[in-house]
Amino acid sequence: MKSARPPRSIRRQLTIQILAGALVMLLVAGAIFLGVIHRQLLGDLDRMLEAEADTLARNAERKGGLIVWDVPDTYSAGARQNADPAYCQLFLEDGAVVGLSQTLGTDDLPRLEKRPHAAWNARLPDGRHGRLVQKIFHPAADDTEQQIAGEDPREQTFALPATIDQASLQLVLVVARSREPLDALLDSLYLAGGAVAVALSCALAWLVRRAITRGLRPIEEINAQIAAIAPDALGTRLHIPAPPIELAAIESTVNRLLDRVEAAFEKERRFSSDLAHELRTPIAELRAACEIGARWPDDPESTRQFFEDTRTIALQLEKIVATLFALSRFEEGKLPLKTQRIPLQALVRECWQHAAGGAEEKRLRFDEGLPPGLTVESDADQLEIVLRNLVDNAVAHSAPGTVVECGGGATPDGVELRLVNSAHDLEHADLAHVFDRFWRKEASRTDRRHAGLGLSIARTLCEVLGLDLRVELSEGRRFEARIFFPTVRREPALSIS
Amino acid sequence: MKLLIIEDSQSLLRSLGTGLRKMGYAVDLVADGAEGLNFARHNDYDVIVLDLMLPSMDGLTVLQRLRALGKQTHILILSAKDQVEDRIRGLRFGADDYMVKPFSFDELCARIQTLVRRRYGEKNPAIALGGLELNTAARVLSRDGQHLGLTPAEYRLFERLALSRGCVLSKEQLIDALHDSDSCPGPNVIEVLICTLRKKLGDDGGESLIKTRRGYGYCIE
Repeated sequence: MKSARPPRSIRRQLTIQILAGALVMLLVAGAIFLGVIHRQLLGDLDRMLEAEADTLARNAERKGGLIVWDVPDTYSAGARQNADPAYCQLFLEDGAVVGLSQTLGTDDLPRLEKRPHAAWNARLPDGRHGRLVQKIFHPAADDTEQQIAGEDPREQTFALPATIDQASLQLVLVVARSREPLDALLDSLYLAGGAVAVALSCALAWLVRRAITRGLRPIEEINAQIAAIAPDALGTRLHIPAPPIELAAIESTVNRLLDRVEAAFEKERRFSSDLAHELRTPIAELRAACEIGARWPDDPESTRQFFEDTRTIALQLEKIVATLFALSRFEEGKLPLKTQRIPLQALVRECWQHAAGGAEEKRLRFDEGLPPGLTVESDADQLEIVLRNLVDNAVAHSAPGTVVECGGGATPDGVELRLVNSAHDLEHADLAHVFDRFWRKEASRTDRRHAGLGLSIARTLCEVLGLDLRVELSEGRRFEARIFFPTVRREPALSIS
Repeated sequence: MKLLIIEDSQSLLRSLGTGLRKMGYAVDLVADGAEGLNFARHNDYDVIVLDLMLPSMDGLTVLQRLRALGKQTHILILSAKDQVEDRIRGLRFGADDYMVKPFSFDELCARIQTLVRRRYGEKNPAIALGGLELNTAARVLSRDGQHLGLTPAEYRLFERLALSRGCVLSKEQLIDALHDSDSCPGPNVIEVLICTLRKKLGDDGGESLIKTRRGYGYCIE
């Protein structure tokens, strides 16, 4: 069974990646630095040995059939006791030893075949690691007649074999010194470099962690602020003092999200509250009627009235439930649509006829100015529901004796339908709520014929039909509802199954 | 005892009117805030039952206006608004009690009766008067545990006199307390009720519990 992966931590990931990168760079830089120093020091040693080799080569002369080689005191037997004795040995090309320093005693230095000039490491006769330099040269010729043997103890002579062509004679000189002082210095350098690397790594780790912690602090601040937003305090907004650019965008986005969440919660809360109120009052009416009717059942007139009230209340509740159910179905998209061409004028007139009773009571006049022959493409049944709700709303809220106007016509992009009625008590601020369910201008909800769902249904159905329904309050407190039927039908806002 | 119900639901108004009258109260019914304020200003009610969401003037405004006018009438808010802040606001604005819809009619009656008792400074619903006991909760008058069988009108009259015992109440005060504002009782209705009450109390021959003060009215001492 696979175990769940632990959640990724940006802090840990950044720390590891930055530290790993920094450490690799530090190691590479340290290695290059130490390598250069190593090479430089070794080069210095080689140059010193080459200088000594040059001196020793100059001290080797060909005098007649002899090679006379003047070896300085630093190579004498006494120098063997020095901490860092030097060694040298002179060979013929065929490997025959011409001479050697007294520091070698009976030992020989190694030499390289077919390499005129070279520097290499080898173990010295005293067992220590050494550095050797080889030089091949033509000994200078000295034709002056001088006493040779026994004059200078530093001088070594070597009789050249008769077979050797003295004019082209080449000698091989090997000079060697211990490299232990150099190795000790290099070891100290590597040790110091390692210590510096460890110290730098620790310092780097601390700095990286601190920098990341400080860098992530605004995120933690945002997290803490979001966590502190209580469900009953959705008006709270994030505020990060001087946020970095990246987080300023997040802060702004989260705040916009909170705006939307708050608006949605507020709408939901208002809907729940309205629904509760919408149901509380009829339930209170039912309960009071039942309790009082049951207590005094011998009063036939009261009992008849209680039953009548109960029936009326039940019908109101049934209407609310049916409307809410229809709204729910519209929103779920469970609505089969049959698009057809609809004559708008006839449909509007039919809807007005439906509301004529209420309009007559309020002495409303219907001023219909739609062009004859104006048609739209839509679902006739659903569009009729939309228009009936708009007309009912206009009739219900118009002041008595006023005019309900209906107009519209073709536009470059489609067809527009306007329905205008008086709305003396409506404010501009109310327009934001007119599509809310159960919203009514008058909080008392005395008029039980209207539950405040008509415009909500109209809007939802318009979204289903791909129409654009807008409302506005024009001059003289005239409430104007506009439906726009686009020529190119928009995709419905709600999916249709 | 006279009540004013200000409630915009006609159905609830009818039910409450019927029930409370059956309980022995004189009840005025109003479905509009401004009209309710007008009724409350010009009549002396023992308790006003006030809805909050009313047409023309909301209940809280009615409440505020009444308190600003110095009206000390006990007011019970009966509203569908059930949030704690709604109740607190109502009580802070000067209401004496708050009930949320839907409600029990019995509980409403009990709360109304509590406010009535509070108005007359009575803590105990059972008031002893000589050999009689008036139970304002059960709304019965009894002697030695036997109910005297008062009609609602007789009970209302006796309760009003008993709760104001020691005070002389004029016929107009008694009519006002006993009848709805839209009813027109005859001029002798109080005399008739006093007469039948005295008979039921058994005061025909001897000294009556209900005293007549010629030119002033009636009282129970």
